[in-house]
Amino acid sequence: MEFENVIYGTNIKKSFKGFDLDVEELRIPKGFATALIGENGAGKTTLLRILAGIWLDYTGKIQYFDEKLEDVESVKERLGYTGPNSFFLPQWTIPQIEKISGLLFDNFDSVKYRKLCQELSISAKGVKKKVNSLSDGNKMKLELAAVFARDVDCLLMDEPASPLDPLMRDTLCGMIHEYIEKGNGEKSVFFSTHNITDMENVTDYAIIMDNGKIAEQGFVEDLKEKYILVKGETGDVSKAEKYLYSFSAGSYGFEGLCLAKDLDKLAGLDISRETPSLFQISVAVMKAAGKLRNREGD
Amino acid sequence: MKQNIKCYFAVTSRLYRILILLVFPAITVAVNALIKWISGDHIFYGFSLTSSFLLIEIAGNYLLSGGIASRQTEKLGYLKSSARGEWLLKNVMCADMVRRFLYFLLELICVSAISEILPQNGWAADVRYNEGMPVFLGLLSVGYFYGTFGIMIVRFFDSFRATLIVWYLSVIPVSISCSALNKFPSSYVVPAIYLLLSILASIFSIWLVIKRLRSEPQ
Repeated sequence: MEFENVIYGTNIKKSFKGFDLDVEELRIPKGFATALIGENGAGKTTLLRILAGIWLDYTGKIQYFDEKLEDVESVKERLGYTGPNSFFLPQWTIPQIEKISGLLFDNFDSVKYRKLCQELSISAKGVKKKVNSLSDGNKMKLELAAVFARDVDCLLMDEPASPLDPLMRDTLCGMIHEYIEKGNGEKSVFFSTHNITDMENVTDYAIIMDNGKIAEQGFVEDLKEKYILVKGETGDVSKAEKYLYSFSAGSYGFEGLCLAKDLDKLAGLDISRETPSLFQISVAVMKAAGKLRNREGD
Repeated sequence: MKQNIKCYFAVTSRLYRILILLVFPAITVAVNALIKWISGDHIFYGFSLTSSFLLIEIAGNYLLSGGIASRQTEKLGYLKSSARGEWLLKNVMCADMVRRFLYFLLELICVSAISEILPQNGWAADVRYNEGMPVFLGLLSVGYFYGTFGIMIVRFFDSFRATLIVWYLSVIPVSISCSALNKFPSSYVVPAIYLLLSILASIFSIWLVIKRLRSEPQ
């Protein structure tokens, strides 16, 4: 499927503390929500920080938006970034963040920020809480209020769902959905997540990372056609195993993901087919990439 | 300068402005004017005023930019996500630097002026020194230098306890420097040395924060 890119990167590399990020080609489609999936230490945060211009010490080429702008400083006004942990200075208060954001970004809307702070129930009206007195969930909500109060063209969010409760995750999905809808194909979201199941209904495109590299990427619908979930009897385990991308077996039988193109090879076995979820695809791809890495290591 | 003040007011809370910019300096001036009037000793009041000034500035800095230069750089993420993050931080640091100097200058002038207005204190008459410009400049530069230096150190720590330890330790060289001023009341050497050190400390303290803002894991 052909699509325009909101961010396009080639040969993005950064090495630190024994970790190597090595992304040959990164394509983030314009007008869609893209999920960045991977195990801890896969390089998701590193990649997002590079894209947001938080980290500038890397090699490679990154182009933003249609204008082919390569200088991240010139596009920061059009990018909205949220990060994990201590994103704001701990001594800042909620009203202070409003004033500071007004100075940092031209497209910051104070009225919208206050409205979002109330809607997201960050703190009671009139209470000037400091950032360090907020729970992790409320800190993330505050980041969301600050970033959604801006009129940006692309949101880069590093694990926004992790500290949130299930209800708030649903609200986040709604916010992302509304943002994309209102953008009329011009606004895009790129977020990393471990909560694949919760975020699947808002994910259009997925990038799965393993050990600093992109292991798989594509539109979710395409990935669901590319991979098939097969379930079979215990007796067929040995025959099926070699064609399965991921595999788990128990007394009940076996279950695994296989490439749709390899389905013919399982002909003759008593198997049932199902469309896999993004979670199942992601786990299978990560397991397969891990196995391959271990084999290369041996 | 307008931008500096605007940025400074944005990053400081109302409580900070009331306590650090109004209430505590007013108390410091009043108490130290009284100390000067009672003791009549410019070195004693100088030490007392400088120590009070350091406590307010170092503790106040905890509310403004405590731990800003610590290794945990993620807390600067929001500033880094803007093309104006560095500009804002520089403006705030410069505004605070200038304010600190003006505040201490003002505190010194106020204390001297108030103690002059007060009637002569009989007990202090024997120990009253002729406070000249070198001593005045000496106190100003000593207080400003240790204030800036102390703040530079506490920016590396997140805890308030560390802030108090830095203040406590900074009082030691302040007492030695005040004694030096007492020893050479008409010499400009001490003020000149501390003035030079103050300028270097000011530049270095801002450079450190900006360096931390730009830092990345290697």
